[in-house]
Amino acid sequence: MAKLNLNQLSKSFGPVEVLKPMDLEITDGEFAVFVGPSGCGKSTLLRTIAGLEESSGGDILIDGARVNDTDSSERGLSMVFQNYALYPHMTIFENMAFGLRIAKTPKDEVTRRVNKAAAILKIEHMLDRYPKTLSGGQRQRVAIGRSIVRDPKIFLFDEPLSNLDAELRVQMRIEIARLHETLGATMIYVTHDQVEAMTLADKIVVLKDGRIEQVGSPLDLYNAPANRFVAGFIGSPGMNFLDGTVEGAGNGQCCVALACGGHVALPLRDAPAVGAPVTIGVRPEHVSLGGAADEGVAATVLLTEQLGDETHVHLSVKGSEGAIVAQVRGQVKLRSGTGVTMMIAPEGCHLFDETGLARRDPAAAQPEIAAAS
Amino acid sequence: MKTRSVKDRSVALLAWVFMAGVTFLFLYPFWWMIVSSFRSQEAMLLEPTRLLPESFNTRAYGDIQTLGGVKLWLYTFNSVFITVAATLIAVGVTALGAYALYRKPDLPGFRFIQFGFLMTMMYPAMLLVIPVYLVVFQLGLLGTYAGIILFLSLMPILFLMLVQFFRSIPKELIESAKMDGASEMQIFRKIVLPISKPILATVFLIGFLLNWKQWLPILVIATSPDQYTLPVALLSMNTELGIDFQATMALAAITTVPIIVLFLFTQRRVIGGFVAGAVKG
Amino acid sequence: MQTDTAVPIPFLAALRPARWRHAGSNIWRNRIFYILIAPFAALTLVMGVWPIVLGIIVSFTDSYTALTPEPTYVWFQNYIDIFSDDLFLSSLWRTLLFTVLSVVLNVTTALALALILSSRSLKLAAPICGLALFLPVVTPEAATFIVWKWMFSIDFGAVNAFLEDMGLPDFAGTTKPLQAFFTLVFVEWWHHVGFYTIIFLTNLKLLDPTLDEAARMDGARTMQRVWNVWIPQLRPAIAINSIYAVIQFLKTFAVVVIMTNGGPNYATNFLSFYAYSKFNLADYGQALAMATVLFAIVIGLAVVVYRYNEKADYR
Repeated sequence: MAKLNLNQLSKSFGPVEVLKPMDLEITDGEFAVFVGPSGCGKSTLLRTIAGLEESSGGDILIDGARVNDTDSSERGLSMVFQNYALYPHMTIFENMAFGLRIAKTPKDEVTRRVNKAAAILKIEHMLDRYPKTLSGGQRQRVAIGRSIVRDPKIFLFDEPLSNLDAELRVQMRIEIARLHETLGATMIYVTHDQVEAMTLADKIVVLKDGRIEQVGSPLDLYNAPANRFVAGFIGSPGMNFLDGTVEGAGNGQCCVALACGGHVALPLRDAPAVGAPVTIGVRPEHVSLGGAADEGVAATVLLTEQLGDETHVHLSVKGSEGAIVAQVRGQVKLRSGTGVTMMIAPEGCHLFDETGLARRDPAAAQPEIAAAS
Repeated sequence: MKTRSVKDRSVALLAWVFMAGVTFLFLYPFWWMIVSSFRSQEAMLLEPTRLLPESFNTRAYGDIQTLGGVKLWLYTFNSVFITVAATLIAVGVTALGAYALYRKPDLPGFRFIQFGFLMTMMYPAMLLVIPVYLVVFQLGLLGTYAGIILFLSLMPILFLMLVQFFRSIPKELIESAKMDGASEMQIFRKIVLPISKPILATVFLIGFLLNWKQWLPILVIATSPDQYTLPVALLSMNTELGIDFQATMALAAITTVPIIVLFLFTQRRVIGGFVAGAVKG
Repeated sequence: MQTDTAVPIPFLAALRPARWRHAGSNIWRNRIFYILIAPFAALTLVMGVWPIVLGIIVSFTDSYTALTPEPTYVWFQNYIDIFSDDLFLSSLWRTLLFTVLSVVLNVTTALALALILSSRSLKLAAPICGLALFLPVVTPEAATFIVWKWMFSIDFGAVNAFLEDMGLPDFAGTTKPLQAFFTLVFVEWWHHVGFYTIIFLTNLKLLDPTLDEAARMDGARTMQRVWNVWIPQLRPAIAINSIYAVIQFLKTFAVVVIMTNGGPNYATNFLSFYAYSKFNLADYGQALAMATVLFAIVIGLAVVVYRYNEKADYR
């Protein structure tokens, strides 16, 4: 167990700066998830922490000690890979014991620790088998077991569930969460799947183009995204974006005229200047249908997705290329082409300025939205 | 549907007949060689294409027990010794080198070695023998087993096959071992070497077949028939003692048949290895 | 990048300059790799780089002094000599003609053989036939070429016996110039075509079956599928095989030494054989000038291929 600090850490491949100088702190026992679209640098960041890639600048501190020049074999970390990376010529037992044997751990100690880890993961009965006889889920369990056995300072996971099918993925996700609770160890987990990030993390680190976009707890990111990218990336179905112009501000209110017609007045003291182009972001659960025509926005139904307990209605509105999604409770049947009025809850709105940064009053926004949803 | 199946069947028949012809074309020379080695020259003149010998005339096998003043067993020993030694060295040296080049192509000096090897690969192999003769001469190794074996240990195709194999090892396997605390030496000994065993066997087999065939470098570096291998002895019969047809066929059979047998037992491995070296090299 | 369409040439990448930053500590940290590569490096240097460099140097010296401690440098005289030698020029053209003919013959027939071998109607016979085709690739050429030499002999060769049985005129084999040339084309084909066939066969097995199924659903007939679905997908394999074949046949040597000795009347005097016969006359300067010319042709081809591959990679 350990804490990790990054100070102005950067990484370049030749002229390409894949990680821009970044700071980050992951505290002891924390479950941190690096998330972002492919190519955002999340895996490179993990591999740099692991020592599998050399850093180009800045410091990596594990429990305060700089490890940039320490070989990955000596950093005391463990890693679970997407493709399991089990040694094909060794039995499961030997796979799990490999690290300890390299470290010249006494024999009975090796056996004890492997058996303990196997018991935690319920793989005791397959210790004598070879990796090729195991299913994907079992292999990943062994790979995790191999990590546990070594009792690393920090567990690293590089998209460990991506090769599994949907059902198994959910199951393993729960097991990893439970494992974190049992071991209380520091874990860093890389994924491109924001659902995994939301469900597992104590702390999510959103990356894009080699830059940290935002760091925070899952609900922080959901409720108060720092910018348009994070707002769009976290949450499913994703946030809707509507273009508009500031038409008035004052009294802690900001009034925005939407390009699709209609107006939104949201509580915001630090409003952009009147006339400034802005984007309003609103999650599907804050979009509703019905209401008086002069209060809402005229929209046309494109299609409806029936999920049983709720319905996602995809709407097209004037001046917006993409569809706007409304999440409606219960089973709503609407034929495509039907004209409806779309209502936007002002307290659920996020305002992004021209540069994509969120404008919000400190502290005020969160409880309100929590109440509204 | 019925006409279709009739047509299909006739196409299949055509393919069968054609491929039977092709198979015959490729196997017949070997058969002819073996049969001829048991037939007297006179019988051959009368009926060159007999499929079975009239009688097993083993005169030729007796006659070639001594060739050019050297015993047949010495040629055979030379063949086995030179082939095995050169192939063992080739596999060992090339595997280590290919692994180092695969893992760290950018280390100072490594590019130069790879470049040098590439040049060697492109130099017409037969003509490389000419300057190699000069080098072996300068090293004072003319007429020695060492000179012959050293040159035959340089086997580009093995390098291609091995590099191809190393590239196919998931890099996570090595990284995983690193994370487990293994040093580079331990990674090589405990991970890479064990999983390379099958490919090393394949590469040895192919190296063996290819070195068994060699003749020009041996002919050039050797200074007396004492160092000749079977193919070189066979060629010297072709030029100097070339009149005895039956004996030539007997020696050709001795040179070839063991290889055919070896190949038949290991064909999957050999063909797979050749293809791996060629397709993706 | 993963699905390498490569040839032995990608190592041309080796030409790119290495980075020498922090060289000292880098070397020490990676000393194990230097230990691993040392024997390989030594072998490559002694049996590869040194002979090649020496060969180029000797090609600039007077043959009589080439092996002495202080050779006389005649610079390009050997090259001038060989390029004003009609025998060399004709052997150069002959080699190129032979190469082009052989490449076309081998690649087309190998492709056809592979297509037939991969057809389902052959069933169990296919692997046997494949083995037969591959046998000449692994058996000692010294033996097989000698056997073919006798097979073509007028007196007791099997070839003419067959021709007679079928009522056809005799084939002169290696005794007449034109016939000798084509005899070598045939024997070299027999020796190598199995290799190319197996490569095509492997590539055929790797083809995307859904494309063929889609074409089948669209009602395409067998020949249409071969032309429009299979062969386009095999294009990289055809390219690779052609390149291999070019390099292979440019270097044609053993078959000449064993079957014809360059004759009759120089009809099979190919480049590498001519260089070798100069070497046998101790004319090291000219022999190595010829070797260097052939080497230059091969490198030129390799560079072209490498460029083409690099482009193809980014398509």
